[in-house]
Amino acid sequence: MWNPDTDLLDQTRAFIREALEALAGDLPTDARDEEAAILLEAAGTLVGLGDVDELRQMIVSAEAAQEACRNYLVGLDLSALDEAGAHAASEAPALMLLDPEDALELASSINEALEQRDRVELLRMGAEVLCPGHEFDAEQESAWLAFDEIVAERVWRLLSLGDTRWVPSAWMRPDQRSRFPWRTRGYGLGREALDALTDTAELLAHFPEAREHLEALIQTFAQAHSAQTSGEASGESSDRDQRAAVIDLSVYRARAAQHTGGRMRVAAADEDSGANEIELPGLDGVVELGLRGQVLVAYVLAKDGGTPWLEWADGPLDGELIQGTNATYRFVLPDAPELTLAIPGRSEEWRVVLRRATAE
Amino acid sequence: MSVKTKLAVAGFTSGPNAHAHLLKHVLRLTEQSDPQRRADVDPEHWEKLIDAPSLTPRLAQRRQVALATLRKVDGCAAGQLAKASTQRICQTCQNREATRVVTGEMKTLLRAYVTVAEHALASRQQAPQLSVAYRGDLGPQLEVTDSRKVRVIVALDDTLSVARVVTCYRTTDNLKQQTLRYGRLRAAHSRCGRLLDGER
Repeated sequence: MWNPDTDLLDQTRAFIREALEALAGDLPTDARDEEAAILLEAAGTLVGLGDVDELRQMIVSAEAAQEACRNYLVGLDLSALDEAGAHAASEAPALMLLDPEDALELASSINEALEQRDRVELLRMGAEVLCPGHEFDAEQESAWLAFDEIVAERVWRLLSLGDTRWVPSAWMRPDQRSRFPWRTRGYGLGREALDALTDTAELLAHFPEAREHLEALIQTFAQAHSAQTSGEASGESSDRDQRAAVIDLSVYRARAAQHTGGRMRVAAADEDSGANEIELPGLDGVVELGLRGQVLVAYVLAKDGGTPWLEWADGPLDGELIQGTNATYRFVLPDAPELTLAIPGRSEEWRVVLRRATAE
Repeated sequence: MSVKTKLAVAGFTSGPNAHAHLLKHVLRLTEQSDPQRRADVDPEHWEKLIDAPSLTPRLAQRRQVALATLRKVDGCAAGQLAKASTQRICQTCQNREATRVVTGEMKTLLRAYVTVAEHALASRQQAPQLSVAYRGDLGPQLEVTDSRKVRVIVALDDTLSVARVVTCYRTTDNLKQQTLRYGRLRAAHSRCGRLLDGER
């Protein structure tokens, strides 16, 4: 069960209460605008945490605060967003060419540009509850649309920011994250994904016949993405996603499998391939694991086998059957040094231990 | 492992990076947007943060003095500017000799700039809610904002005891907005297992 971060939740509620109280009294214009800005941002944060109903209850009879928020929004200058978007979009390619150490400064400046846009989205989320019906003026709207347009075409290049790009959105419920596509498209993909693109191009130049395999992989991930977004839209997978952390393909390996009784132990899977076919004695079927970013894709086709699940310190974690398949499951991995994939049979259970390679 | 209480600050991540941020934030010469280029008042008010050497609050004058120094340095592209620019110049500088000379010419100001960053870093003991430390793809980093609204981001070494400044500037956000921002960041990094121990 996903839960919001309690420290953040408490802080956000406290700031909302303080701002509502302050705005109920007489304040000079500057102070009023300052409180309204905090109220809107804190309200947006509470919405991001999934507590819209609580926010609505908090602002009952807070007409003065709502009026202050409307006045603040009317005067909000978003003209710098255009430039921020241009900076993020134009500098991201350069970041791809830099070593991590040299990339720090540029990554920081691009992230600041993204933060400007984050802030505006949080204000909008807050305004939708605090100031229902408020319409931003055309100039304001064109400022964020200009940012979105400039950045949208190049979000993939922002992968060069690594986790600097997507981690700052991880505090939010997954079903709220789609409002921040500059952060969350390709959530969990790291810098190495761009390098892999170059490697893939070289591989295909040498082996054009591998394109068919690439297309099949693309389709698998597109299905996984589709399952994720449809789940998020309905709120179904929000718990799992929010508990998840990104674990890179290269740092996890299927290490061993053992029978529940602990008697059987098999060799580790192939450590050099992305998809690890696991041999499980006694299991009449095929188990193949692939890891991509934070996502474990498990193909489990076993006679008499049931639906697999993951186990970790916090308990069981269900996977999702990828749409269009009958035996391929998708798990968003939590951040844990060790996980167990459990595959139930008719009278026994197979377990594959996944251990973070870097923990050795 | 926790970030050490007392961090040793080993300057900026690089000479060109130190110059880039000095010229952007303190001297207001590079990476200035159009409205910033026209302004004659430093929006970050570095004249109130740095005592020595004293900085005039009038930007036109401050820029003139800086350009006069930079123009004397062979190979310094920033010295070729006639006025404040939108360009990022120092980040792409490959001229090591020019970098060395500029560092020498501006050493007092650079030292004072780093001292402001050190002061901000030290403040995290009193106001931990205005900081976040995490281990990301680009290595361990610490971000802090002090009561003067100076925000500093540093790269930490593997022992989490030596800091190198990535950027240092004064933010326009008020401290409550900063607190909320750091709260979101701590929650995000915590959820992804990237928050450094002892930062919560």
